[in-house]
Parts: sequence; structure tokens; C-alpha cells
Amino acid sequence: MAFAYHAMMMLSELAGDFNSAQYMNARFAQMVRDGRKWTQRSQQGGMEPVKYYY
Amino acid sequence: MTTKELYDVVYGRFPQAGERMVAKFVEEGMRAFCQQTHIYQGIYTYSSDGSSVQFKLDTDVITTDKVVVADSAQNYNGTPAKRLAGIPESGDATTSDYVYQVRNGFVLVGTLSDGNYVALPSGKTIVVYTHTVPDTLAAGLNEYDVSDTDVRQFEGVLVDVTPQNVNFVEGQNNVLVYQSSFIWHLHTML
Repeated sequence: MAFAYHAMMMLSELAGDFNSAQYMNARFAQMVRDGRKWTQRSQQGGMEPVKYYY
Repeated sequence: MTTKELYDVVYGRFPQAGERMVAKFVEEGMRAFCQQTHIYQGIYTYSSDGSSVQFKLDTDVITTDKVVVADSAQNYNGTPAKRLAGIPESGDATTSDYVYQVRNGFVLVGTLSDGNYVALPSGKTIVVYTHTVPDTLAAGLNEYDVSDTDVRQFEGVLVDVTPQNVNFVEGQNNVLVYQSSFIWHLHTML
């Protein structure tokens, strides 16, 4: 989803919708912060991705 | 989430966006995410030929964490090289230990003799541990999210999504057979 938010940020910016771009940027930044937490924690195992459903 | 689902999130808001544009921006998002989080790790290996001291790093590499000089390509256990903080200040710098540094997209590995690199003997494998970026979006999703090729049911059970042939041909003949048998049953019941 972070990848998609980044793409939507770029597309909003190109469309001149800067409020939307700012929102997408904030969502992307939030996910980057989560990613940093993930990489900085020390964990042995338990690295399976979260289950997903269709 | 598969690649297509990821694109569809974007198309949901920007239905008119070009296909190439969306693909590029989503991949750029992956690169930005990996660069800002350092979440993706990769290992690159090189073989020493007895004369080369510098080896070209992939342009995706963000940081180089560790370099190991191993005896075989099958086993990455070997001698860790010590990282040089910069260009050796003194021309007298000579080491017996392996040292390495990263310069202009190359990793320089070897021992030092009077401040110059001496190539490793041939047959060694240089293992470079890095933080990097996946080559493609699909490769990144394969690693950390849903693969493009597998579809799962509840509790993560893998489902075979190969199209099945049920040996049923739709058409007017089937409808006629159904109708005539229905009328025949109707007659017998009456």
C-alpha cells in the first residue's frame, strides 16, 4: 500500500491537487515510520507475513 | 497484495492514468520506501581472478554492511574484511588482513601494500551483504507480500487456481435436452 500511496501522491501532484498530494504523502510517511520500526527491532524468527484473505 | 491489486488501488482514484505511468510511479514508491526504511537486504557475490581489486556494485545498493572473503562459492563462511574509513592517509599503510571500502559504486577488496590494494588470490568468493532494492515490483512483493502467482483461501490455505475443464458445453442443445426431459417427467408424473 505504501507503494500505491507514493504513486497516488505523484499523480495528485501532477493533477494539481496539492491537498490530496499532502494527504498521500502523510500516509506514505506513516508507513515509512512503521517500516523503520520493523527494521530496527531485534527479532529472532516470527517473520511470517500477516495472513491475508480473499 | 499482488501487483495487479496494487495498480488497481491507484486506478480506483485515477481511472484515466496511463498504464506505464502507474507502473513507474508504483515502482518508484517501492524504491523510495526501501531507501527510507532500509527494509530490503541482499547479498551479492563476486569471484576474484587474482588481478582485480575493484568490483562493480549493483546500482540498487543503498548500504554495504559487511564483506566476507570466502574460499568457495557454496559456503559464505570466511574471513570478514575490515572496512576502511577512507583513503589510507599514509603510503606506508600495509595490512595482512583483508580490507574493503566502497568508492564510486565499486567495492574495493584486498590487502594493502604501501597504501595500494593488492588483489586477492584467484578462486576466492567475495560476499557483499547489503541493503538494496528489489529488481522489480513482483520480486519485492514475492519477498514481503503476496506472490503474484499464488491465491489463498481462509487461514492461508493455498488454492489451485489452474482453470478446470468441467466437460460441459453451454448451448441450445443442452437447453433442449433439459426441456424435453422435463416434459417427459411431467408426463410420467401425470
